[in-house]
Amino acid sequence: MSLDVKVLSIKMLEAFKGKLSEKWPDVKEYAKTESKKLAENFVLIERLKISGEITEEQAKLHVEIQKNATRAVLLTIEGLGLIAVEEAINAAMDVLRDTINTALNFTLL
Amino acid sequence: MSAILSGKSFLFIKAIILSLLLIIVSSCSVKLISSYDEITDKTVTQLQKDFETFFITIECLDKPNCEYENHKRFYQDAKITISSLAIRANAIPKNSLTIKQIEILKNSLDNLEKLHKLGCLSVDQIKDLRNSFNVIFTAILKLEIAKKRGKNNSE
Repeated sequence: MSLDVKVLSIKMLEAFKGKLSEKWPDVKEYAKTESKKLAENFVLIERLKISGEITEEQAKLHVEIQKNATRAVLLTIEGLGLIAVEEAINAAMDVLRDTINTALNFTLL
Repeated sequence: MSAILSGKSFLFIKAIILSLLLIIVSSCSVKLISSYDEITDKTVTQLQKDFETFFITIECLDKPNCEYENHKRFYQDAKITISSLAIRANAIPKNSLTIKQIEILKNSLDNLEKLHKLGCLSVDQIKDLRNSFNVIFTAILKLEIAKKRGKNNSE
């Protein structure tokens, strides 16, 4: 059986997309949930500042902590993306490996 | 005869190339981020509990008991734990995202300390701070647990 580049590339692409699609709902849900919490916090800080409950100096410190929280979330999203890409690449490599084994008509490794 | 030989040679070369390709593909698995670290997971989880205990405690206190001077021990202990987390994270390869998150946690603790030094924290302030720190802790833990990559990994 000879290797069909077109068929092989389609199979690899499907494996790749499949893995990314699998991970995306979790990333999306996480981003949505954390965005809501962060937005609520920013509104709270603004309310505290306007009402005079906190000074400008205190508000700045609260905002800095909030910005840090936002950065932490973005780093996690980046990490989840990297893991998804990694799994997708490895899934595509598995397809390539299986297809080559089949083409050679035996399992080399 | 020479045509048959060159045809066989071609097939032989093709088989060699395919075999080499398979060896390369078999030995290569891509890793873009570090493996899961159980100690990081457990330490961050415990640290979140310590922060929660701290917030619950100061929420119920009036002056002067709520003031910074009476809670220095919390800040010292938290700094030591975060420092030790940072050292461990730096020792693990391909761990730059977690390293940055721990730096963020450290910076946030410093800001919390500055806030507390300015005066006792009100219930609303504590609510905001608790939410922010929980977002940070969740972010660190979510990434760490994701590094298990769906396997029962306890490296």
